[in-house]
Amino acid sequence: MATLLKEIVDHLNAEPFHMNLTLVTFDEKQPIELLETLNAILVHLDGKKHEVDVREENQDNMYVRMAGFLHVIGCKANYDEEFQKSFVAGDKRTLYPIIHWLLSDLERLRKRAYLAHYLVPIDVPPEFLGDEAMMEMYQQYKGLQAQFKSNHQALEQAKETSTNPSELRKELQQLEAEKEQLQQKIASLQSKTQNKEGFDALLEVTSSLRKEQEEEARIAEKIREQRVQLEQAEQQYMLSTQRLAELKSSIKDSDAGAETMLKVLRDEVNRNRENLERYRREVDEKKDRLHTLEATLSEPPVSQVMIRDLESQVAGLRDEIQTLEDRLEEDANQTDDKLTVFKQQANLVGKKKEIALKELKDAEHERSELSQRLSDREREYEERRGHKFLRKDEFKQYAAELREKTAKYKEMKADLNEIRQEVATLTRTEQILQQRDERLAKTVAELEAKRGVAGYQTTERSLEEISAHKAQVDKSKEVQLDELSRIVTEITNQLKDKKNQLAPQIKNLREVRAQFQELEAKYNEKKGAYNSVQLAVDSDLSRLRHEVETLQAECDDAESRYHQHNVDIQTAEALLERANKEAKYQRGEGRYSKEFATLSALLTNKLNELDLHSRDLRKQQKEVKENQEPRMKQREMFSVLQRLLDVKLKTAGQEAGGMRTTGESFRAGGGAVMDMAGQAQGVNRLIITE
Amino acid sequence: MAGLKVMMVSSMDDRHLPQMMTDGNERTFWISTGMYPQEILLELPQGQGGAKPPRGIQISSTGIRVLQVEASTGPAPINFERLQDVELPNRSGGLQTETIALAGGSWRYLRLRVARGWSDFCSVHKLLLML
Repeated sequence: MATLLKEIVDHLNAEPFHMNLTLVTFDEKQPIELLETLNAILVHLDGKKHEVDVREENQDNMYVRMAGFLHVIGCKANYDEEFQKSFVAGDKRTLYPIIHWLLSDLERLRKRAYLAHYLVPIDVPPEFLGDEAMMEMYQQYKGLQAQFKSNHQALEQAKETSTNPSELRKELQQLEAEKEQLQQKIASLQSKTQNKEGFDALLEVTSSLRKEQEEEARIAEKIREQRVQLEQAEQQYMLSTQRLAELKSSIKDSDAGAETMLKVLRDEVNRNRENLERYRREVDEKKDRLHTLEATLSEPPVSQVMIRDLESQVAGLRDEIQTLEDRLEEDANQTDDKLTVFKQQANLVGKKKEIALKELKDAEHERSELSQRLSDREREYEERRGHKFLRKDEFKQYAAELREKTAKYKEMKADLNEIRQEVATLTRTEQILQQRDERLAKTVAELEAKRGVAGYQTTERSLEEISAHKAQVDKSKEVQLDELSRIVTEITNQLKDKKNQLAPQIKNLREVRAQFQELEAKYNEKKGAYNSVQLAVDSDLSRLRHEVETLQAECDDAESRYHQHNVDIQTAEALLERANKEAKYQRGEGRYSKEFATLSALLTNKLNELDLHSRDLRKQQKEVKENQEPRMKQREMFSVLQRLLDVKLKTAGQEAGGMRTTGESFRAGGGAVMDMAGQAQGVNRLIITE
Repeated sequence: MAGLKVMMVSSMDDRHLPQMMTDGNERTFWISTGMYPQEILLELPQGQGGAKPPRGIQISSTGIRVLQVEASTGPAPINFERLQDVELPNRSGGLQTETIALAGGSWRYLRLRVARGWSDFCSVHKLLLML
């Protein structure tokens, strides 16, 4: 509720209301003042309709107006009795939410109110729609509504796309001011430079320079852009070439292309998945960081008080630390003498160790220096003498080596000379032989020409070549044939092995097959026997069942008959009992009841009664039969009489009605009237008196 | 029960067989199917010369009001002699236990006749021969 109030007050203090309220003053408003504020808001939203003074308005009217308006603009509230009551009473709890909702969306609600004015559909009852004029008007109204909607939408769109005209105007003004300034500048420059010669050329050149500079700038920009694009394209190209190379290599490498491709793709997929994971993790980390930052941002601002508290805490802790350290020192100082002695010893030893370390470092440093100097001196010496500084033994060793090497050198040199000589002789022999060969070939050719077999040598040579070639080919054939025969023997051996392996199995199989056939025969036999036995048993079973059922039925029958007989026995016994008793009463040994001695007496009595009764009834019957005719006649006569009297009464009544106006004084006893009427009409009348 | 055999009952039902009276289990029982009188015909075991004749028979039942005990000696279950009429108390469906003494010697067949009952149905849970 507090935040609600705060927001409401903020909104009311801003435009367009400028009410200058604080939380307290707003809270203390009277209900009627609250309704006034609500009214003011509604005025802002919809103007004319709500410019009514709330104090002077009737409460119901006010509620209807406001609630209607709120409903139209879409305020969510259940408009029931309670709501009405609390609204009219200006209850804070109902009004604050409404006011808050209205204020938080003022512009939108304003537009909505304005639109509602035109777009709320009018409910026309159907009977009115029957009328033609009404129908036309209604259609027109609907058409106008649609038009309004489209126009409004177009207007909204135009507002969005185009810029604010005031802004445009401002821009225009600015540009015009600049234009004026530039014109002034140009005029002043022109006036300044009019007289100078050669200025036109200069101006041309400078203007062209400026243009070229501008062009240069533009081109530089374009270059940058294109460089960036080029980089991107190159990267893409590299990636794609890489991929292509990978794919090609994968295809080339193996025969089963599909599998490797799949593998490659799978690798790729895995790689992508890993990347995905990595990115996800990064995203999560960044999100966490963002969250922490947001958290720190959203923490309530550290107030001065808190800072002071924390500082005091820090100071307190520091003091504590100080005290603890002091205590520690005291403790350290107050320990036994032994400990101090040891401590002193330790200190001494430590110092000694330090000293020793320092000495060691110094010694090492000296050593390094000295070695450095030594190497320097050696180098000097080498430079001067041309070789390394040799001591005695080294020198001797060096001399021995030298001697050895010279001896070897001499040997080798001697060998080399020999070989060179040999080479010379061989080349010489070769030359001689070649010459001889040439001469011989010439003579052979002459001989051939003589004998008419030209080209014999060449053919012979080619023959030799071919035969050598053939020998080679034959050899290779032989090798191949050997291999083939070897393979064939291998295969036959394998076949034999396998056959041998299988042979015992086959034997087993044959035996088992024979057994199987025997068993099958036996099985079929037994199965047949079993079936027949089963049939017999089944038939027996069904027969027995049938028997059992019939016997059971007999039993039930017997039982019901038994009970029936028992019941019959009981009734028979009762009858017998009665008869015995009757016999007893007849003999006089008891009475049946107070009135009658025996049952037969009772029965005879009853018989007599019934006889009498029947006689009476018969008499009655006779009487009725005799008197029926005259009685019927009498009845008829009486009915006729009654009819006559009825008619007479009617006529008398009609006359009496006519005479009633004159004879009202004779109302005492309707009979008097009748009397007069009767006398007026004639003699043979029946006087009806009450 | 050793030798006590139910030869006939006047009400048959598959769920409550007459053998359930002599199986020694009080939970299983025979029940009548309505109306009185109801009859149970028993054959007593014949001892082989020297065995004691039974002294009496113990019956656990419900709903019996008047029980008539008849016995016969002959080889066939005819010519019954009325031994005694026992009146059992009303236990409103609870178990009635009664011991019926069998005086006299060599009874072969025993007929228990429920002449009247306390309600429409009666049941016999156990028949025990006491030696």
